[in-house]
Amino acid sequence: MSAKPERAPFQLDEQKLRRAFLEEAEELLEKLGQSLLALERAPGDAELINEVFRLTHSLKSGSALAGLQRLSSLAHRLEDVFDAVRRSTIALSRPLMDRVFGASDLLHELLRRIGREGTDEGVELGATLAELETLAGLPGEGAGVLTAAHGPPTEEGARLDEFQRALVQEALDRGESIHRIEVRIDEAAELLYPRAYLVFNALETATNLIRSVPDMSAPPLEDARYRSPVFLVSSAWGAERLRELCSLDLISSVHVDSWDRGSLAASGLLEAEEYPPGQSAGRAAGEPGRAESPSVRVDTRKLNEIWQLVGELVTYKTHLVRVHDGVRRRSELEPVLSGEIERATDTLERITGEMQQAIMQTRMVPIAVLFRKFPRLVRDLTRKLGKAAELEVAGEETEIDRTIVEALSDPLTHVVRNSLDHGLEPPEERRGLGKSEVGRIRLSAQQQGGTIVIEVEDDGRGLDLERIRRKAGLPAEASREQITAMVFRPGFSTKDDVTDLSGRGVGLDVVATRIRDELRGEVELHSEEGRGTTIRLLLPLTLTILHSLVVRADRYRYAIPIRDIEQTVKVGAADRRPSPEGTRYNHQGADIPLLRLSALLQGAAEPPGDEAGPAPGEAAGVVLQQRDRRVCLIVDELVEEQDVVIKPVSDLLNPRRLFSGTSVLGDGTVLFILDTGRVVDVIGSGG
Amino acid sequence: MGRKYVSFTVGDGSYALPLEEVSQIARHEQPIEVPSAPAFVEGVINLAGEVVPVVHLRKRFGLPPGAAGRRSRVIVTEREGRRYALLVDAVREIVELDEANVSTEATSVFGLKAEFVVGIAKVRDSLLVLLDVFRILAASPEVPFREPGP
Repeated sequence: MSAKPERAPFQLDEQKLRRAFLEEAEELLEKLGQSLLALERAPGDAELINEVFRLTHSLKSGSALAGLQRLSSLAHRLEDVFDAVRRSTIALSRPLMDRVFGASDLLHELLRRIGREGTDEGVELGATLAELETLAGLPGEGAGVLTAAHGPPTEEGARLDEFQRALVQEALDRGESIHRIEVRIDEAAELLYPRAYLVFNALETATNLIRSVPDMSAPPLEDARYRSPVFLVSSAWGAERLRELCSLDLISSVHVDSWDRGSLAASGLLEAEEYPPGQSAGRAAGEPGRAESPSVRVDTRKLNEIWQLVGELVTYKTHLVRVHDGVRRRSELEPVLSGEIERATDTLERITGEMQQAIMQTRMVPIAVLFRKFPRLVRDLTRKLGKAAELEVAGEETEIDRTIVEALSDPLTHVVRNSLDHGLEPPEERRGLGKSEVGRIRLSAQQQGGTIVIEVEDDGRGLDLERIRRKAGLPAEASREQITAMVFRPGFSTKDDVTDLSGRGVGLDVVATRIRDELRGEVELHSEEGRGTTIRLLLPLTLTILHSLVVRADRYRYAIPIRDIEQTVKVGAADRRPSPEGTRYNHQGADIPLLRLSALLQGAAEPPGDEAGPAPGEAAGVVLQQRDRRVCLIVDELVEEQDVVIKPVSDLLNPRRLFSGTSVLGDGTVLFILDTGRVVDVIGSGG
Repeated sequence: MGRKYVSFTVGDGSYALPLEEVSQIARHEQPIEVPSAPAFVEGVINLAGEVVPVVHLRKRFGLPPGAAGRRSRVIVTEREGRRYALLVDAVREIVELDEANVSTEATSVFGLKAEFVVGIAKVRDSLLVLLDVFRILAASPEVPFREPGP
């Protein structure tokens, strides 16, 4: 199937379709996973079986069109299986579900490959295809060969099958109307199939497609047969709107016939051999039925661009306000004019503020997109580990920055896995303890002010504090908090005997580090022996804006994240004390390292604590806190508190990794954002 | 089919970067000073809100700095999301080079270490050095750039 150069328009469409499909496929697979899990719990649910069938069908047809034959053939086999299930030719059994889950994993794998390498070659499908084929009770076909769509070839006029009639009934029950849409493709179109497909695609996205003639989900036929495809759909939309939807480029005419419940019964569509002429287009009144919440897919890069621009706008708005303040103070403006400017800038301020809010909203997604995968994870892991657990999910609607969602996926998976693996006792042990055999894991999210709190709670054995205390060599009088903190110590948790007995700790330090460094969040752990453990992840709402304290050192300005500042202090001569490791500062009775920010930035040339500069008298200090460590930084000036928009910092400007980003202020000043964790490490290690 | 390059001069040498890695060419303006940057970084410029370091190629090449002149230009180059503004003595032209005319044997030329030279082309009797600027800038500044002279 090599395309000739003159087929370029088709190629273009195919590329677009493939991209669109890949975006959509991820979503379809997620939904498929959820429906399968639900189906496993309620194997008789006809609604769910149909849902699974529809999802596999969409995957099959989308991937075939995107030229992804292997993906398509696998989805096709799954569709066959569920076709047989919904026709009751085969029964849903546990082994069957296991195979199906296996196949859906394989679909994920194929999709990942395609996304990464542009091809799905190299994933072994043969065995799975053959297995599914046997399960569906189909005559064996060569593995990997794309077969024709199931059922007899649909001719216009052929009777609706049972499934399609069920779709019609369901649609009517929802209060939707049934529409027959006949489209004619313009003579000017070089190829008909892609045009027909674009209409099909539009309809499939916006309506519930009952059938298409020719069957657009089957592999392409001879191109000439796509001159005037006919679609039967259900939708709450009116005929006019559907016509608009289908009036794409190179579509010369769209004819819509519509029926509601009453007119449909009279038409006999459900029984008839042919579609009877229905109520003609313009007269299909009575719509629109429900309120719609229309949505479009937008490339995140485009959103990011807008986000950047709004960020700049906000910055320059601030600049304008400052300039005006400066001018007014020198009273070079007459009061009336000044008032005008003030009103104008106030309005500008309000609008930019709202704009920032609005654009921020586009970055937010419900955390459900992340939580979705956990029912499956818990199912698989409990089986593997021989445990029994019920997963409870709460707060799925909580919204969070999509970049956080992406970065959060791995650490959260780790935490849940930990709870299952090490937190929950095996069923026999639980029975012995008088607990319910089925353990409970609760995954929840909620917003508290500017923070998102995600909790993973189990009713397992909790931490064995005494064991950890001895292992860590802490004194007998060590506090609960001190002992608990040990599980976050790098390396501590990897000791096998501790993890086996304490039942927790594998990689928690890794989780905590990632949450802190990549997401500017925190991890907390609460545990009660014998009762269970709760791990709380505290995350910022968004990663792009940082609430910070701007300070000055020499001629430069730096931003320090407010959340890492314990206190700003006045450091007098009496509070400091020289020592072999550098100057120390007496902070509320605690002895902590003290260093001038400019000295830190000049690097290792200067020994820590060697304060060049005007030491006598009082200096402004900022006490930074990271976990249990604190240091005091001397700065030349505390400038102001400010929300700064974070931009990445070039490696070239950050040879010692002391900065986590940069930001440009309204007056053009470049500001460096201190990486507090790194600063505390560097000062603490005396380097 | 040839590949297009932007050629420029630094000191006595002529160099070139692939056109697709060049996003902008601008007159040289005084950059914003920044702390704790290596000596060959002149400062930064603000490109649509992004802070981009300005690299003084003369200094990076170990040549006497020389004041920025009338023909000095800044070439903004970008690869995989990393951006640098390169200060060069002059921008010459856009040339299309056939692969056949580019020698890609690892060689040291103009005293440059071979690992930073992607290829050498001959254009109208003079040598054009195709550079891997990203590799140069990723290298530690402590590594002497020029090989010891003969």
